Amino acid sequence: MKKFNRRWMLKSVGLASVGAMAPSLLKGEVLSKAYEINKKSLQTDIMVIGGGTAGVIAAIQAGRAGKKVILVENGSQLGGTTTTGGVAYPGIFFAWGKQVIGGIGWELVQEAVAMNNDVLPDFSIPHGEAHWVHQVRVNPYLYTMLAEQKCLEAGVQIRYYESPTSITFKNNSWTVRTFGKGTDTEINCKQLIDCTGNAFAVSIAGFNVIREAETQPGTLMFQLTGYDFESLDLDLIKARYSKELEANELDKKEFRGDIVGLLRSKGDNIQHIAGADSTTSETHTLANIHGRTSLYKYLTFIRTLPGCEKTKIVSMQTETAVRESYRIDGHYKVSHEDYIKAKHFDDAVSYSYYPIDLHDEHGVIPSQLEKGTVPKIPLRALVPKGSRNFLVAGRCISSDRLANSALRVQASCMGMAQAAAAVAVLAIKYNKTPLEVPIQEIRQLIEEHGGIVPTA
Amino acid sequence: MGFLGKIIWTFLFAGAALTLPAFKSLEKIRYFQSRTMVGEPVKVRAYRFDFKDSIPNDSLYQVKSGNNLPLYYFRKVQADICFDGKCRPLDIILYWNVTGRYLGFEMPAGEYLSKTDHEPFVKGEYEHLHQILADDRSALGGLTYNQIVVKPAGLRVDLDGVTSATSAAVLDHVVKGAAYTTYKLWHIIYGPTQREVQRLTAEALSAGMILQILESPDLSDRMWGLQYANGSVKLTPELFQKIVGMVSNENYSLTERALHAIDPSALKSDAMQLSLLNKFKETDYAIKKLIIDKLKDAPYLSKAVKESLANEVLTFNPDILTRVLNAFARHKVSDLNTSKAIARLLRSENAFIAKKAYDFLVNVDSGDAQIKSLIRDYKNQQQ
Repeated sequence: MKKFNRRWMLKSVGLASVGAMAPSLLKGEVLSKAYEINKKSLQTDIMVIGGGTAGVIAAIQAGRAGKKVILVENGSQLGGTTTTGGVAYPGIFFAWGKQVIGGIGWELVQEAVAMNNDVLPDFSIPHGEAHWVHQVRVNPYLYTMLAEQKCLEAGVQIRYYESPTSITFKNNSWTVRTFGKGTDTEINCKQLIDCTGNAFAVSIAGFNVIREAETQPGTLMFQLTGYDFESLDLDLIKARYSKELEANELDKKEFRGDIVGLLRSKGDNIQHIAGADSTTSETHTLANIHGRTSLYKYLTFIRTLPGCEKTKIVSMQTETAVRESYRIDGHYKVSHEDYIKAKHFDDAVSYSYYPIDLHDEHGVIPSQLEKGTVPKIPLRALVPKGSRNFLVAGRCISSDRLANSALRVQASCMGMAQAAAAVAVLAIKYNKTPLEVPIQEIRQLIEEHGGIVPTA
Repeated sequence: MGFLGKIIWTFLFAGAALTLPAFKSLEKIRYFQSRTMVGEPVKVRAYRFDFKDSIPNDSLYQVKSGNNLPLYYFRKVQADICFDGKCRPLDIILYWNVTGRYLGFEMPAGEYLSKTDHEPFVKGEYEHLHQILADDRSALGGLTYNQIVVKPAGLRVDLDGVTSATSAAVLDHVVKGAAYTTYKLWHIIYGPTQREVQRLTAEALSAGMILQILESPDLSDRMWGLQYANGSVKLTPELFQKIVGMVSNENYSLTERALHAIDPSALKSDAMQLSLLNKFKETDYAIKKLIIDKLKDAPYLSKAVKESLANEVLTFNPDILTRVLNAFARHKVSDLNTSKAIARLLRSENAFIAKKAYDFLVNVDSGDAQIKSLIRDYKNQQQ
């Protein structure tokens, strides 16, 4: 018989109380230890922050050039504006009958088109006033898969659901701390590329950023169905809409005061959400809620219109896409004049081609470029002042507002992203900072990888 | 697509003049561009569709040659156009090329077009209309009628009324004083009728007909022919050579469409594959990758093509190299010379390229001691 003593008694009571608290387990279940934040330190050659339009291209380029790459994306998929934003027509790659943006961006677009049995527009005929006829529609689901596959093939380590919280420079390398779902990671890299579109990493690293007092509106992309536009009584609908606006039931600016445009487009790139900013969780939350609230109100109204009673939403993006937030204070600021005159830069690394396209509360009237004009992007616009081993690519490059309204478009972002990654690769090779890398070598590397580099 | 199945056969008495370039006949008001298919018009077949464009006549007429090939199409358009409260019918015949391209228009005898002030069109206005209708990229395509005119309240939408001032932004895209007529005709030409024309032609396509279309001086015709070549007709040697001949750096769109027209399963001869390889050597990266993917999906890989690609592996960029290695893997290329060429890549300073070579070689048992040694060295370096 077991001998009872004080020690034995205390131990027994303790076990009994644990048993009382433990859940009753069914067959096959095991009691698991509570999850602990997984802390890690990683080393890489190049880190790309933001897996959107530009980040995907930069990561693939760096990987194909043989570098170790980590790509951090705070969402659940790659492609950014093209996929999550739903603006699945990534801009213009051809100008005046010639291809001006090629390389990895075009590779993705062309393959997405081919895999979807779509037909590319005829780029050999200039688009005239209708630049959208040269837009290439891609299947966003396919595009995001292709982007992911090509990143993986290039050896890129993708880290979804992570966002940087601190970025510090020490011993000629960057250390980025990221937090994600159950992760706390310190990533040390030789070169850092900010592809957030909002200059978010630039801000955290402590460099200056610039923002307009009033930014371009964002857009929640969606698709309506359930009515026949051709048979609608548009005059009646406009009259009803005017009354709704007068009664302040709807905000005129949210759909440019154009109910006919909304019904005709069925939700394709028609909404305008003032002040939409995707920089932080808080600002992006507001933009998303604003976008959905606006759509909800308009949808409710549309369903009261004759002929529209059965209107439905068949798709809606998960985020309000953003056109403009912060830009870097770079070594060179691309101006409107530079853009429309296609100023040549000795350090030009990519082309951009799009009309000046500033959206405001009244809508947008694109200002087409003059015949033969193909603007250029200098490397200095991709480098924050005062930085070392740091580049940006995408809409947040150093530019004035009007130039930015054109170069922010996806194709241009792809071109500059490939260039930024090529520079980062060579900066590592020569142990230099981006602006010290010989421009001829940069151009050669870009061209070797199929990119198109501006000529004088 | 709304085909109602009613077929009417008649013989053709007019239309031979359609082979001529733009002209105006003395008897009738008619403006035309060149059509693609040569041949005498012999018969007309009428197809009935619901075009959903408010034109009462729902027949589309297909004009054919003696050997039953479509030559062109036309549609009789009769609609009411109203002027300041008074209406008169618009009576015009519109013509389409077999590729769906706008060919021209013709006024029935005694008919003419008129403007908001009831004045008949003058020669320059007919020419302007013809020019606008020939522009498939006109801004009219993106506009609603309400954007064309500044319409006073209370007027019907389908008016060319004098009280309807034409919006300044679209003046260049319409005949002055005939905004609605211009708008309406343009949208009929590029609306569902055009798609029906293209569908009917596609049903009648043959390799010979595609060849004729590819000879057209009009680029849009050639683009159309290439788009429909793959899957519609058998790729004859003559057609293949014609298509490959269109591959160049000069026009990406035409080249891309040409390569799309080549079904890789038809690449059944060394000669065909070598023709493509020659183009591969001449063209830019964006085209090279399309060509190599065709060869990857060919029924087999010609020895000469394989050797040529193997000899050049050191020169390929990472993406082209990946595609070439994928092609080799697909065709189970495992000969010693190719493996030796690829093994040289194991020492590339580009880690991506070296890994690609390694991934390929570990799946190929060359039996060669030197290659095995290189593979071992590569593996050791990675550890």
